[in-house]
Amino acid sequence: MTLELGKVVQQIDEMGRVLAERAGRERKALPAARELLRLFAHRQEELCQVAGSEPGQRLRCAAPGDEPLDAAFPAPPLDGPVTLVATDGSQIYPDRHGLAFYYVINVGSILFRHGSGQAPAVATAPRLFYRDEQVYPGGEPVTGDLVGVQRNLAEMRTLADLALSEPGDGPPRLGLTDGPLLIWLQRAALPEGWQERILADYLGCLDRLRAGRVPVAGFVSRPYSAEVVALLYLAQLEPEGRQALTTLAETDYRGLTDRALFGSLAPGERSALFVRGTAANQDFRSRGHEIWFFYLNTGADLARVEVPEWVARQPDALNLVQAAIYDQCRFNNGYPYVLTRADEQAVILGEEREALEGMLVRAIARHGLPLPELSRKAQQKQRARWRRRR
Amino acid sequence: MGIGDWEMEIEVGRVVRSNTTRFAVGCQVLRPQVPAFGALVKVAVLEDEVYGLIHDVRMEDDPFVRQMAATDGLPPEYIEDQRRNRQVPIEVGVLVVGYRHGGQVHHRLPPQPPLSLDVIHTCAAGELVAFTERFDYFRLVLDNRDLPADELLAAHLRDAAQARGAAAGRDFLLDAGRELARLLAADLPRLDAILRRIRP
Repeated sequence: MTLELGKVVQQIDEMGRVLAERAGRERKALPAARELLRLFAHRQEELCQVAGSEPGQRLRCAAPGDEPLDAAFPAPPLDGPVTLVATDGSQIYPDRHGLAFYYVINVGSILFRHGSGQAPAVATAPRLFYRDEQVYPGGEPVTGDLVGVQRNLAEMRTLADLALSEPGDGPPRLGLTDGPLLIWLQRAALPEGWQERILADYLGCLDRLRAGRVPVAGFVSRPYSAEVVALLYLAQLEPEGRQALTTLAETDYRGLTDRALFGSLAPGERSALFVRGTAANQDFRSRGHEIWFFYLNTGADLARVEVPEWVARQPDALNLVQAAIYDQCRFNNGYPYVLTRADEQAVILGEEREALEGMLVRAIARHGLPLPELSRKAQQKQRARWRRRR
Repeated sequence: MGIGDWEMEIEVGRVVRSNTTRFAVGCQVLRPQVPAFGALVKVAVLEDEVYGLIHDVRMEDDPFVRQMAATDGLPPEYIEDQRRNRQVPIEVGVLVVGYRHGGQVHHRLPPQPPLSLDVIHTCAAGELVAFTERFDYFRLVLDNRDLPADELLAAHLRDAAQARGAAAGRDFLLDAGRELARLLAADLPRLDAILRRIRP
């Protein structure tokens, strides 16, 4: 009937206690982890071996780049004009209890000319998916996972199109997406052949950006990954200990994140570069887009910024990424302004969805079909919940 | 309004809601002098044209704008984005003061209010002069005690005087003052306040 708050009082109190305990454990583990960071700061070769070893891959350890691990690089100045392009997407998931089995992907974009004094150009690109091969790929109903990765692809495609539509001899260009560049394609969750196809298209966009000399970065707000922590923990173990370790959850470092590890960065500073340890990076590596990352103090948050190797190895491009993202964050509460605006463009509100479905009902009726209706389950839910929605 | 604008009818925006006595207009940007407090504006409603005075110009806000307002050293691109691209329009309040039907101007409430998204224009000098040849609409303004009605009427009368040129404008204000004295004979402090605001 409702969430009876009286019944959760005790659980809430217990939850508070557990959270405090966890924070205390992390506080205890953190100085040791930071000490390891200092200790291994110049032992890149050794760490690369650890990361590449079987236990290293099992724990998804990051691999170090060429910089000292505990280095901190201040934000370079953002001199002169820069053209920033950002995209973000949202979706209406397919719902078999809805009026029809369809889904929508809406990509919002912004082209922001830093230093121009001009209003940026904003746009949306909504697309409906309703054909048999779209909603029943491989004969099975489309899943939320497939819609999600198609959305990732649509965001990257729009980003590449928009950034490359700007002249190459103008101000430097930079593409920014919300979330990891290393998109997660779970083969098992996708119909046969789709994983390969989407990955190829996505990497094709990165190919075009590289060829057009447009650096691209993914901004991950409040990341919880622990790939560097895992690397350090594994590296300090004796070889036998490494073999025996299956997860960080069994250790004192349980719950400790990279974000905490690099929490001493000053505003604008970035950490050293690392290579993402996730297995999926293998696919990106094979096409020359191995995903690297650094941590950045945005002024109000510690974010992870992902870039392809060709950006990480190009100092001008890397400096542009750091300087432009930090500059964007300065005026937007520690989060890039262009990403806030791209999201604002993309988001589909409840009333907009209702208006869309109203149009859909009329279109169906115009074509001589009986009026579509929600499933009995959805209708009854709506009726029963009516009083609580008012 | 600058003299140069008097000959032009400038689009103010579109109606977002209306009733018989007032309507609200949404517009995206402030241009020089448009929309201006006290300006006479008009909107076509079927066969008629409804006249009104702009009594309020208001900027809508949201938490995002409020946060930006408190941010130091905001570069112009951010300000332009908020002003031009985000849907936080300027809302203009209009008080209905009459209508025109079959070429004849009436200083009373129109039979029908404007519809959503109808376009509002400012009135050029000739039309402002024509509308203010009689003063029967004063009551429609003065009766609105929830508005700055006295300021509104004074601003409008100064506009109407200016549209007539110096000498004719002075005579116009004297005539308007006499009409106000008749209407507000029972409220001398109020009369005094308005007369001070329109004194040539």
